[in-house]
Parts: sequence; structure tokens; C-alpha cells
Amino acid sequence: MASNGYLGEFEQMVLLAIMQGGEDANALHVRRELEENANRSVTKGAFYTTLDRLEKKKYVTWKARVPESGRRGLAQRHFRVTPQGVDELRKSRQALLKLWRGLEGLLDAT
Amino acid sequence: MSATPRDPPAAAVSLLRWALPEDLVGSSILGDLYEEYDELAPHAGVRADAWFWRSALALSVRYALVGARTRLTRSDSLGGVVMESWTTLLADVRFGSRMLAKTPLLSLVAILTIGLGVALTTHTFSSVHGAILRGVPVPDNDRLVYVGQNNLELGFTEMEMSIHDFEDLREQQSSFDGLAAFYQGTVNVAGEEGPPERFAGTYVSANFLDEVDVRPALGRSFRADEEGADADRVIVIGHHVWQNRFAGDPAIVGRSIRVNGVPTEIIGVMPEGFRFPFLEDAWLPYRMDAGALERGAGSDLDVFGRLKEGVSMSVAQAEVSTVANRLEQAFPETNDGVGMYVQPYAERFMPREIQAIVWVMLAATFGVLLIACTNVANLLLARATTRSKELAVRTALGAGRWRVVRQLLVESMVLAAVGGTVGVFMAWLGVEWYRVAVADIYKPYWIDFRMDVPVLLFSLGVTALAALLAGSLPALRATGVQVSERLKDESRGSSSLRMGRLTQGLVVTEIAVSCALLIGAGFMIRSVINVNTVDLGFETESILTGRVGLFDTDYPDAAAREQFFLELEERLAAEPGVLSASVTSDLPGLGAGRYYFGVERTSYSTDADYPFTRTSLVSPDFFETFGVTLTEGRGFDVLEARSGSTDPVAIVNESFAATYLEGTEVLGERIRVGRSDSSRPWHRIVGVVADMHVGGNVGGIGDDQERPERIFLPRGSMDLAFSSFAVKTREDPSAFAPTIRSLVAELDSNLPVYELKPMDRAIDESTWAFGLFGSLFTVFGAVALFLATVGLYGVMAFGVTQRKREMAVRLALGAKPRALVRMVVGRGAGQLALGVGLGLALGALMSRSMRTVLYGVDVDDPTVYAAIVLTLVTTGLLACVVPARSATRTDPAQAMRGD
Repeated sequence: MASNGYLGEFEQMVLLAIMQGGEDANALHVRRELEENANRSVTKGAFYTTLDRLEKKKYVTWKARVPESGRRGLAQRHFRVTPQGVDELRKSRQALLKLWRGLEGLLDAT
Repeated sequence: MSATPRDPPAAAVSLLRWALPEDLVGSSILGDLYEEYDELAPHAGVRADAWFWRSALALSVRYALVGARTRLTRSDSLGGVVMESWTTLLADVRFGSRMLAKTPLLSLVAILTIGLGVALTTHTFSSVHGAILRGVPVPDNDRLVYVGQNNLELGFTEMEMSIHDFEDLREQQSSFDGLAAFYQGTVNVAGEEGPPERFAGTYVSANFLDEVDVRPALGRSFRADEEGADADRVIVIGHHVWQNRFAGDPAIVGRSIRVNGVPTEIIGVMPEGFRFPFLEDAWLPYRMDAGALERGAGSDLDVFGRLKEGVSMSVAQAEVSTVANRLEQAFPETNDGVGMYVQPYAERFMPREIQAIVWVMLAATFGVLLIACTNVANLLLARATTRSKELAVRTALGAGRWRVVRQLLVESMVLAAVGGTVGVFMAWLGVEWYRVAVADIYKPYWIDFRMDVPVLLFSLGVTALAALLAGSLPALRATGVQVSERLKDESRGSSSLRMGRLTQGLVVTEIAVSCALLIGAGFMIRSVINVNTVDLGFETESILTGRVGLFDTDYPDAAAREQFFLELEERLAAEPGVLSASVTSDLPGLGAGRYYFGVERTSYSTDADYPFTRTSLVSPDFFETFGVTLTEGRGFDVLEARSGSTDPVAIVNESFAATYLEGTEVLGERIRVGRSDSSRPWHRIVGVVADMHVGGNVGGIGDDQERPERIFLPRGSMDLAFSSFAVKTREDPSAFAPTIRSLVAELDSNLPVYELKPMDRAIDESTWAFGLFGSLFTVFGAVALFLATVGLYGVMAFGVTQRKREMAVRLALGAKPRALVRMVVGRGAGQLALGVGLGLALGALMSRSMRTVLYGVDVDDPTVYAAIVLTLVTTGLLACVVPARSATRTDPAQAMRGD
């Protein structure tokens, strides 16, 4: 499937947070990861609809697990970034790195 | 954690369940929120609930907005259906508009047709709304009722009430929040502000403004103690009087003015537009003391009140009837046979007959709308016929019947929307014209014709109705034929969607409705002609008329009043340019009081047997002024016309002589006003005059049913505070008006002259209703005829075109063109005959229901029916002949090749 251009900033962050979470990458965990490490507040609406979008683009996939307790018995989704998702992350990173090339010194000076 | 977890707000959970996807995704998101909530709740308590609400709202909004697209594309959800419907509707509208643009002439005709229908119905509805539905602009006007009296034994259906009956009723009733009373009178205002001016005033019970529930904009309303005969004189004035007469003086309250010659304090100014009860300028407490008056004496009162919440008209009616019975038993000498009735307040001033006209007109316009819709339906059906293949292809490609019906309905909606807009614009023009036309008519203050929101909503409804009526039949019909049939159709050059029975039925309906409307219009037009050519029996040209009223303060007794009028008459007659002048109780053709009378040589067994007739008091030159000829005897001389004549005389008209004095010598016979207990003198008849219009107002309701008898008594035989005068002038009477004003001012500078106008104008003003309704009906009739003719022509022409090939074959096989024309016309004539037959029956019914509003018309008058039939048959046959002839003129070979 052809890529639809580059990932958005928030999409990249969500994908990275999922990868950081590893096996424990459930939605709650990913959101907290984002809030703590990216130092930004995440609105639930934007977060979940981004997850939906990434899933639709086949960059993430999930498995539902029924919790042993809590959650009023409602399933919990555990996310994983697909190889396509990883490719997209790589592509975005490379594009950014190319654009950064030669500018590091300029930015350090400011 | 063993403790039972606290639950998040149920409403927020419901909101989430509604907003989130109904799958694992949705439930896992909800699970996430539960999890977080359960972590927060033990130490955050209520704040956790707030957090949950915030989260639920944020997620719901997000999913509603951003997620809408995904959710809505799923056609199994309600949203999906709505979205899909909306999208297809837009597509249908676009497609429909393109289809309509492809047949511009047809579309234009359809739009104009619907426009005319919508315009007429809207215009008429604005009349119904303005005159009847909107009602009196006071709070809770649906509970405002009028209470009147009647004496059905004596044939009086409407009587006002004495102050005694009013006060007894007020005391004994429990159906009303309160009852108030008034009588209308004249208010002459004089003072330093300008010339004396006459205002329409109402003398009211002190609680009047409280019962109306409208407070003065300035000052206060009346106090209970201001009602008595000795109370201080106070007046509340209308906003326009305050503005016009007193230049909006902010310090008006407390100021003293002379009202009917007496210093009176202005205590309030009513809000702008308030003219209750009819078209008033000022309100004064009546100065009657029921205790000091003999029962039944005093001014007669109009009584109104507000029904208590939840009390129905019938309950109130039952109660006032009980009170009336009680009063009848207690006071037989004044209340014998007197009943009481309640009616919605506005109805009192908008008689049922007038309401009936307006409703009949609305029904008639719906008839026109029906014709318009039938025409458009026929046009669309005709077009559907030519589009049958397109529709079949759509069906074959999987469009359901409903889908195709909808497409066709949308097209008729587009037509109706444009037509409706055109119609509303036309109606607006009409309403504005109408408004100007009726602006000067003396009518209740709440009657106003304008295009307001309810009227516009009505137009919207009518337009939608038109779209449905015009669109549904063709749509259902066009989609009801087998697909395979239709696909074969156009290769054969004919259509399985023939102009079948349906179209023929529509044409018959159309002709029938037009015929009925035209019959109604015909009778209305006849009425207008009758009113305008009614033989008044007196002259109206070169006569200036006016009225003056004298008040007790300046003219305390009958002698003073008579002296004034004698002087007035003398001065008027002496004025250069005046041919003759007369002072009279009533002007001819504009109503006169009805009095009981007795003929001396006739004996009456009971009072109920005494006849009554309209009676006028006139000065000697009255007959000369109005050019009425004496057919027998002589007129009054100057001395006879004065009061206290030792030999009272009378003049009667020819009808009176024929009815009551048949077979005897009229001259010398004596008559007396009143019944057996009359204290009035006997009047010797000295003259007989030719009949003149005697009814109420010329053209008024029921005026044509009035009996023609009339009595004329010398002016001095009764004491009159108010009198009219008439001056026959050599030149233009209007130019004489300033002379009259200054002449009256010379006699009494505090006395205003009112209703100063030429006699012919006074008569025209009383016949306005016929002019107006007549012209409206004529317009309806003309539009109906036009639409029916166009419709018939369109249908016939289309039918012929459809059969071109068949006709070509017939021609080619040797048929004579004339025979073909006959065949086509014969078919049309059948429909025409059926339509006209039904229409005649319908028209006969309609004209019978209109009988009360017709003037001097026999509803079985065959000439009207004949004229309508002739008009319809001629136009109808032309509509058939023209297309038939053109079809036979085409080259058969060309017609065969065609399509």
C-alpha cells in the first residue's frame, strides 16, 4: 500500500509511545507515556481518534484482553506497531534528519 | 480492593455509550475510562465524577464530529440513513433542476401556475388571518367574550344591556374573571390646542381597562369612584390623540381640557395602537348611577369579560341564561322575553356573514389551487410520458420504485419551491394593495392585512401541498408501468404511459372546479352590479352631507337644540350656491332607526302585532334636496316641521301606502309611533312619496331583504341631539366643505362638524365590501378560467401529439382530416360535458351557501349558469379544436418517420 505522505507529529509520538510500552502498551499506558515523556497534555478525544486512524492505515494493530478484575469487565486493547508503521516512522525520521543536516550548528548557536 | 467501587455518573456513561462506536473499540475506551475513574474515585470523590463528565463530553464531541464521517458512511445506522438521504436529496434536487431547465417552457408554465395558486390562497389567507384569526391584540384574547341580550320572541337577535341588568349579571355570575361595560359616543374636545375636534370615545365602567388587561402607557386607569354621576371628570386618551392633538406633551397627565363642554382632567395615555373596543380615540368613565335610574333607563351597554381559566363558552352560556331567566322573573316589565348570550368578542364586530364570505373565499381559492395543481400534474404526467424510457433504465439499473417516485417528487418540489416564491411575491404585492384599499374603511382596530409569519408559514404549507398534489400522481403513475413495457415503448414511437383515465379524470375535475368557481364569481359580480346600479330613488350628486351633535352642557333642553338646528338649516339654505338644505335624523341609503307604529283604523290584539318600520325625521326641504318626487298630497310646511305642532303630520312612501293602507284613502289616515301604550300624538298623512332605498346601508348584509316601507315625520316631532344635514349645491359639493365648517363655527365655535362628505362618497363607502369581495371573486374566476383553459388545451394538445403517428396512419389510409378533428374534439367534448355537469351541481351548492352575502341575486338565475356554461364550452372546444387541426395538417410521412 502506498504511503499517504509523512506521519503527523502526534501520530509519530503515539507510534513511538506504543513501541516504548512494549508488551504493556495498552491505551491508558500509551497515553500516560505521552503525557509524561512528551511533556504535553493529551485530550482523550484526539488520542483515541488518532489510534483509530493509525489502525485504519494499518500502522498499528491491537489485541483485546479481558481483564482479570476492574474495568467493569470491559476488554482492554494492547497495541503493537506493525512493520508498516515502523517503516513510516523510519521514513519520517529520515526525512527529518535530511532536513536537519547542516543546521545543527546553527541551532546550537541560538 | 474489596470495597464496591463507586460508579461514575450514569448519564455520562449513557452519553458515552451513545457516542462511542458500538464495538470492541468503543467498549475498550469505556473500559479505559472506568479504570482511570476507579483509580481516581477513592481519593478524589466528587471531583472524579467531574473528571468523568469532562472526559465523556470531550470524547462524545470528538466522536460525534470527527468520527461522524466514518460512522455515517455505514448505511445501517440512523445517521447513515439521514446522511445518505440528504446526499441523495441534494443529488435529486440538482438532477431535477437540470431536467426542468431542459424543458424551460413547461417549467415556466408550471411555475407560473403554482405561483398563481399560491398567491391567491396566501392572499385570501392573509384576509382570514387579519380579519378573524389574529384576533383582538389584548392578553389572552381567546378568553375575551361579549355578553349580549336578545328577545327572540320579538325577533331581536342582538340587544345591548341596561346598566341594571349588567350590574345584576356582574354580581350573580361566576364564569368570568370579571365583566366590564361600555357604550360608544362622541367626544368633542375643545381648547387652546386648536379647532374643536370630534373623537370616537367610549364611556366605560371603571374596571374597563383592568378587564381588557392593558395598562396606560402614561398615567393611570380609572378608579372605582370615578364611575358615578357626581364623580370628577377624567379622561384617558389614545396614543395617537396624545401625539397629534397634544404634540406628545410629556406633561399631559393632569392637564385639563374641555370635553363636550366640560373641564376634564387627562389621567392617562394608552399605549400605541390600543383602540379597544372598536376604533376608539378616548375613554371616559360613564356617569351612571344604577340606583338613581329607573330600571331599564340609561344608556344601553355593551358588556364583555374574560372567561375564567377552564370555563368553556357553553358553561358561560348556561350561566348567563340562568341569570337572564332570574331577571325575567324578577323584572317582567323590563325583561320579559329577554335572554342573554355569549360570543367570542371579535365575532361581535365581525359578523358571521362577513366571516362566512371570507371563509367561502378561502375555500374558493383552494379550488383555484386545486386547478393549478391539476394542471401541473398533467404537465408533469405528460413529461413523464416522454421520459418513460429514462425512468425504465433507472429502474433496470436497480433504482427502487420509491427511489424513482422520490426523484419525480423532488422535481415537483423544485417547481413548487420556485412557484411558491413567485406566488409569495405576487401575494405580497396583492396584500399591500389590499391594505391601501381598505385603509380608510371604518373597521375594528385589530383588523390589519399583512404578510406576517403565520401567513408565510401558511404559504409554505400550501406550496408543499401543491408539490405533493402536483407531483405524487404523475410520479406513482409513471413508475407503475412494467419496466419491460417501457423499454419497448419508445422504439415503437408510442408510449405505454398513455394519457389515460387518470388524465381525463384530472381534466374533468379541473373543469368542474372552474365551473363552480365561475358560478360563484358570476353571482358575486351580479351582486356588485346590483349594488352599483341599485335604484336608490334619490339623487346623490352635488349633495354635501355632514353631522353635528349637541351636548347637554351647552344645549340643556330640547328647545335649545331645536333652535340650533333650525338656525343651522336657515343659514345653510341662505348660503350662496346652495340650492336647498335639509336637516334630518338620518341620511337616505345609510340606515335609519326602526320604530313600532300603529295605523289608527287598524286594531292590534297584542303589542307583538304592531308592525315596525324605518322612520326618519326630516325638515321640509328634505325631499327637494334629494330630488324625491311627491306622488300624492304635499310636503311639510315650515311650521309643521317644528315641535309642538297642533296638527302633527306625516309622509309615507308608496310601499307603505300599499302595504298598510291598501284600499283606503291614504291622505288623512293617521299613524302613531309606538305601540298600545304610546304617548306620542297621532300623525295625519299629508303626502306620499316615491319609494327610495330604505334599508340599512346600501349593500349592507341583508339590506336587499329589507321591507321597502318607510315613514317620514317632521324633524321637530322628536328631540334630537344629533342630526345630519344635506346641502344641494350648484357647484362641486366638496369645495363647499370649508364654507360649512366656518358657518357652523359661527353658530358655535366649540362644535365640530364630522362625516363631512359628498353624498355619493358616503354611499360608496357603505358599498365597499361588495366592491372589494366582488373584485376578488372576479379575479378568482378569471384566474380559474385561464388555468382551466390552459390546462385543457395542454392536455388535449399533448394527447394529440401522442397520437400523431396513429393519426398519420389513419390519414394515410384515407381518413378525412375533418373526421379526425371530430374524433379528437368528440373525446374532449365528453370530458367537457362531464366536467361542466359536475361543476354546475357544485356551483349550485356553493352559490346557495353564499346566499347571505349576495345582493339582490336569485341563486337559481339561469342566465348566470348559461353564461358560465357558454364560456367554458367555447374555450374548452377551442382548446380541443386547435391542436386537432394542427395535427391533421402535418405530413403523414413525416409523422410516421418522426419520434
